[in-house]
Amino acid sequence: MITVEAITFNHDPGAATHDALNIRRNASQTVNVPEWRRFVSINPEDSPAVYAVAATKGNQVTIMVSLRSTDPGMAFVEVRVEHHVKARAVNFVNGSTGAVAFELIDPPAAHGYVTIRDVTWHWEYRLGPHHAWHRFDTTRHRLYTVLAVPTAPWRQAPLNTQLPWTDVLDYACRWAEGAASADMAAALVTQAVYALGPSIVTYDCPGGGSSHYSFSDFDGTHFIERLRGGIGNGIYVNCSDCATIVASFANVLGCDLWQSRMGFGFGLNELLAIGSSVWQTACGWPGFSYHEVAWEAACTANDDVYDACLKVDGDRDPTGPPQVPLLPQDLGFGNPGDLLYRDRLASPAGRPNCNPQPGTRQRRFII
Amino acid sequence: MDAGQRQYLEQRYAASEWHGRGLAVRRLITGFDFSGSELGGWTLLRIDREARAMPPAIRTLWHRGNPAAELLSIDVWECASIPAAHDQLLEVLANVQSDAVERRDRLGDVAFSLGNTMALFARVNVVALIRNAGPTVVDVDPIAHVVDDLLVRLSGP
Repeated sequence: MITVEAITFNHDPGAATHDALNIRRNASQTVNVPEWRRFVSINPEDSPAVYAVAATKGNQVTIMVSLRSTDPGMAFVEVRVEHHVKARAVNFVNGSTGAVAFELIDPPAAHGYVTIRDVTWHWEYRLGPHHAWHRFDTTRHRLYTVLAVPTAPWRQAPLNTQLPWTDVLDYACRWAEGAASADMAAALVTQAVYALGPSIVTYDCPGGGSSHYSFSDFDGTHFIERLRGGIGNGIYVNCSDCATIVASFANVLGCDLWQSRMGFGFGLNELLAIGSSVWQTACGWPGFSYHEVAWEAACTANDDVYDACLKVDGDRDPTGPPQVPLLPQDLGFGNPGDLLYRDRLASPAGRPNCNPQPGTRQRRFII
Repeated sequence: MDAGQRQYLEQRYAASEWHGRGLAVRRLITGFDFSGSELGGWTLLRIDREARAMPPAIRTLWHRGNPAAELLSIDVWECASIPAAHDQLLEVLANVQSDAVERRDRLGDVAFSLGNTMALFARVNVVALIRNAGPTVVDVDPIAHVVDDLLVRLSGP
């Protein structure tokens, strides 16, 4: 009998060009390598692997597989997973092959867009080219595809809590499923976060729009608890929370967003805060002391923003009814009179005080 | 905090009137903690002690009845001095978006609130932020006074 003993997807922690990324589950749990181990890995989520489109483009992607045979007469066979793992010959020495490299057929990242797939692999062997294939084992895996190696706060240095979390990827990859560009991925994440209102999160009117998940680190652990139906840190979020969630969840997909502020002290046009269906200045307050969004590049007036905290009026006159709800995604911040993000968010009187504050640009550490 | 935002907040909240000022007769508070029995009718749901944070923080969630309905968030920062606590007040205000938050009296040495649904105050060297975290909004004023009374006792001459 032949068995699969272990499969390693991330066999080169120093690179992501021919194998999977360095990852962990969350702040407290690691992903052990080999990711799949006999008798340990049962469900797909027990064996996660993340591939980056940009890093693996044009490269052979391999996994390391350890096989065992209980048949002392079996020394040399071909092994494959039809459609998934390219056939190759393996040699059993004292019943074991050791870790041997297998090439993936049509690896997930080859399609070039964000995905999350649970796969079931049926392992087969044959004694030689003229023999039939025989199924001998089945393994299950969760394969994530991101666009590029995740950017900060995420890191690839082994053994740190900022390795990409599969708990975050489980949501980010579903939210941005099919995105083939960073802008598209960031936009889909922004839409998904805004759509969490009003049941999962809603704008913090009672607390004055205070940060519940992002002061001062990003409390990703409790935000994910909230996403899963738990209490988390409660139902309320503010702009810093939304900016941090969008940037962190988009950056794990390979986007390159910052959390950055504008201000300080400016009047507002009427808007739809996350979780609200009423057009009004935020919670009826005259204005914002500050506002924070997920922002591209240098976080200046020339750069684009993603704001999951609110919808602005997208028509020709954002200062009053009628209003056309517009969720700011890849929208230039602009200068007064440009009819871009600044004009849509801030009232005419407030616009001079609604200035990009690139000195506040950051990517909060996730805990 | 960004220097521009601090300047805005100092002006907006008239920090020159209160920053660094406190009752000299009170002593600095050390080792503040919640046991869970402090707030009548409320149950401590979670307490996270961030001892290594600067300043050290205690973040708590309390519920009354269904935690998915009535939920309170109480964060407490224990600072090294009265001026440091007032810096922390500004730091907290720097993460509050509303420009409708106002200074108030009869709570702490310096206090701010938004109606009766959010209270932020400093008592000696400790800063407390009490706010709603659940969809059923409750009056936080009585809670804020209970927390303040605890701090007053701990800072007694």
